[in-house]
Amino acid sequence: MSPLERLLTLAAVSLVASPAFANTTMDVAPAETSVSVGDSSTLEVAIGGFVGEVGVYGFQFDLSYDPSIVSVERVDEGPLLAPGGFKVFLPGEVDEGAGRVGFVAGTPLGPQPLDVPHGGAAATVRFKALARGTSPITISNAVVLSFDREELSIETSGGLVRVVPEPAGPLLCATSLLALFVYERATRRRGVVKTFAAGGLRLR
Amino acid sequence: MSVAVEAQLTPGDLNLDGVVDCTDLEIQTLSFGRQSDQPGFDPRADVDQSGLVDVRDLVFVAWRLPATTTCF
Repeated sequence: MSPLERLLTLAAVSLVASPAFANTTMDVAPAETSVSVGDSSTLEVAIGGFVGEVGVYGFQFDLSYDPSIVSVERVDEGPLLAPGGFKVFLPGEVDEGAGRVGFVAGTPLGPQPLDVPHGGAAATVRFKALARGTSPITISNAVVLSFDREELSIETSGGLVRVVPEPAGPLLCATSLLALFVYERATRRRGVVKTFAAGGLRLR
Repeated sequence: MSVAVEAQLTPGDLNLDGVVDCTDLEIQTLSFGRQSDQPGFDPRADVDQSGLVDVRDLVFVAWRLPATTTCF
């Protein structure tokens, strides 16, 4: 590699690695989760990336989901806003028919940036599992403003909620015991008794 | 006879009472997410006159509040 090529490579690497050119991220976490029908699951919408380099001031996002699979029970502020203490958090409006939470937003009050060098959860969203299936959770209308109130370039990534059948509880237990009882009676009639303690079969 | 009235506008003072306080923020939160053609839209809250009240408008007022303000 010639000195010129080496110099160009070094410049390219430092350009890519520079926080000034890196994006802020807004992600659904965890990216995938499973929940039983009738149960609830809480997801976070987290802001990350190089937020510590620029200082985050305000944020906003919408969240879309499949309303035939899950519903939104509540939206709460995440710990991202907590360090400042003086802030406003707007939980947005839930449109169950459309499967959308619109305009979730938050900002500190006064000229103070959020003291979150590594980012964190801007909001938590609790979903209730309605029916078996998979619902994508998609972020849109995302805005993150820097301490200078400049709009940051954002990369968003959504998530998936898999709703599985509810676990069989007492009913399955009762059915299993009944089946065992019937089986035991049938084997006794045929003259075969399982002797579990002896670890074998004994003929009567 | 004519009288000249000179008004001193304070950025972020949406209700024009001379101070930026929680009542200005409340004007925005009541209109938040509304577009100009929707009920509940308050043009005073649309600071950047984009036709939508969003976080860009919200931070304009929030930034101008004293740092130890508790509104809600």
